[in-house]
Amino acid sequence: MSDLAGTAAFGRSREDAEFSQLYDRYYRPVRDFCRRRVAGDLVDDAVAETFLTAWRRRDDVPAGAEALVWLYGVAYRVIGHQWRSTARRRRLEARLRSVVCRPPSGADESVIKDDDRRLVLAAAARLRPMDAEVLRLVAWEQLSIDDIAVVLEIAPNAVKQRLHRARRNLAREYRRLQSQQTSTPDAPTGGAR
Amino acid sequence: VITDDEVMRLFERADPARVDHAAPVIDAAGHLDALRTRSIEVKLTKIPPTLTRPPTRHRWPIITAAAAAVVLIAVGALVVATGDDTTEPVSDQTQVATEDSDNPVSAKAEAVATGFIEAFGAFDAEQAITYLAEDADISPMLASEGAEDVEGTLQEFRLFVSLLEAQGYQQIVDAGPIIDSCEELGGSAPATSLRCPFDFHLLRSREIGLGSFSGSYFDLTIRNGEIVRASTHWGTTEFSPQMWEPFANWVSTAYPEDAAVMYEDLSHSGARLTEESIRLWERHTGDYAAAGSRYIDRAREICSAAHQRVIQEGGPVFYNESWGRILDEALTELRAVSPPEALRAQFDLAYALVEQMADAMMRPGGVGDERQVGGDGSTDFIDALHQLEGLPGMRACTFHGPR
Repeated sequence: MSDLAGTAAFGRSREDAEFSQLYDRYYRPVRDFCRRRVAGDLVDDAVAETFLTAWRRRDDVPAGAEALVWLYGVAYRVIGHQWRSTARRRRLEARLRSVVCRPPSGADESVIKDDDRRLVLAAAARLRPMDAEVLRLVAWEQLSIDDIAVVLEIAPNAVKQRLHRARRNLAREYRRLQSQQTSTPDAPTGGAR
Repeated sequence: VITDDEVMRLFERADPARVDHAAPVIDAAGHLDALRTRSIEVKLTKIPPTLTRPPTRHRWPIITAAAAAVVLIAVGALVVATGDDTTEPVSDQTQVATEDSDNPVSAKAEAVATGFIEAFGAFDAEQAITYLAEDADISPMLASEGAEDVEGTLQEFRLFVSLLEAQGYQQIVDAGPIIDSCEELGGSAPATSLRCPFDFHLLRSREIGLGSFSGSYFDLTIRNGEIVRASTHWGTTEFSPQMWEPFANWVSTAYPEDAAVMYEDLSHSGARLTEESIRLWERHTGDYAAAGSRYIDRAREICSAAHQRVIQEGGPVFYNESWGRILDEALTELRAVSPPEALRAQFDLAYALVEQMADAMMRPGGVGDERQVGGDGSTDFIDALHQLEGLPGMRACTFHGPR
């Protein structure tokens, strides 16, 4: 982002201005990214951690639209890996795991209003974690194959394979959950278990 | 039967963020400040992750809460804890020294960094130069105030030290030996990289009751007992809006021709590193601080006189209507003379706070009334009182101390 770390001028320093621009431009999409993956009360922590990393590594932030993909990559790792070392982070991780592994609960539940959505999220939660992540990046962040490869740090071909498999398995799981639901007349809200 | 594509579209529409458009966007500038603080913390090695932030940033809420508790206990009489203007908040350095004692920095690098930084802070350029390797890269440090086209020569280093002295720079490492607060950044052997935080006054901020300013650090790379690279990062989050920008506005309006010599360009974000520039910086920062200092003295006198009247007035109830009238009259006197540019923002705030306090006192029942003390209004009043206490020259207008 800047080659001026440590040499910023006074006034509104160049690195401050650049970071503010980055923050103003990408706060919303980064927050959305985190909101899609963690429970509500953890979203702000994840966003803060992401921008903290961006601030510490401000010299590495690419220019232009690539910055958002870079931030997604940081947020992905913040959510997936960085909250492991302390008791607080272990608690957060436990809560994150509960969000990811128990389909109709956590962050998504508060916004899923109908059974179809509930079912499709439950289906996604049954996929392999990385496959589900590829799906989310395609469907929710609207990223290209190449950008997903950057975020997940895997090869574009691997992204294609995972996406193909994920779409197929998502539909299969969805249909399976749907059929279970319809075959259970008094199934409780929340779908099949 | 639902198709794969239909399921995928369903999944797209299930985006949890779709209904989250009302989420507040946090101000970038405020976030930067927090990031700087956290950034320093998390880079420290071997520091427990539960390390708390320096209390500086949360001082007012804590004091306010404590004061509010006192007020609630004292029914009918408002008892406010006496503040202490001279109390210095515990700085980042203190925490580092405490928490990071098991992070030994090589003794040789430690001595070099200490010697260099102390000499630099004492404006002893020749002594500081003795710590530099012959081919040391000091251009990042010399460019840290925005000077352009620096080559990193020793002559430029001398000018830079002179510039800081002319600008009334004060390097604050009063939390203890500076090296205790240095963080070893690593680096490839045989080099050692250290980051040494410091607080500072600049543009004679101490003379007008502003600062000190935190968030700054030296980065020094030391090899074979010599500094091979030096850079300075200035914490500008509070300094720029309080000092740098008001001064730039003032000098560029009052002395535009001089400003053209003092600054690199019209953005006024960088100081030019020339002898002529240095002379002008010394002269104008001196004038600027003197004007500010005179205004603060005037405010202090007016507030002290008002406080004396309150002491003479006495009365069974603190912060009553009569006190409010005295404060209101003092405010009229204070506002009769506009604050100088150096202090405009601070005194605009101070006068607004005084007005708020005077209004509260003059309301029926005043703020000493039990019902008001326990209500929301009392919290605002105490907030205002404590904010005012921290503003230069205004402490006596809080009517703290003996009646």
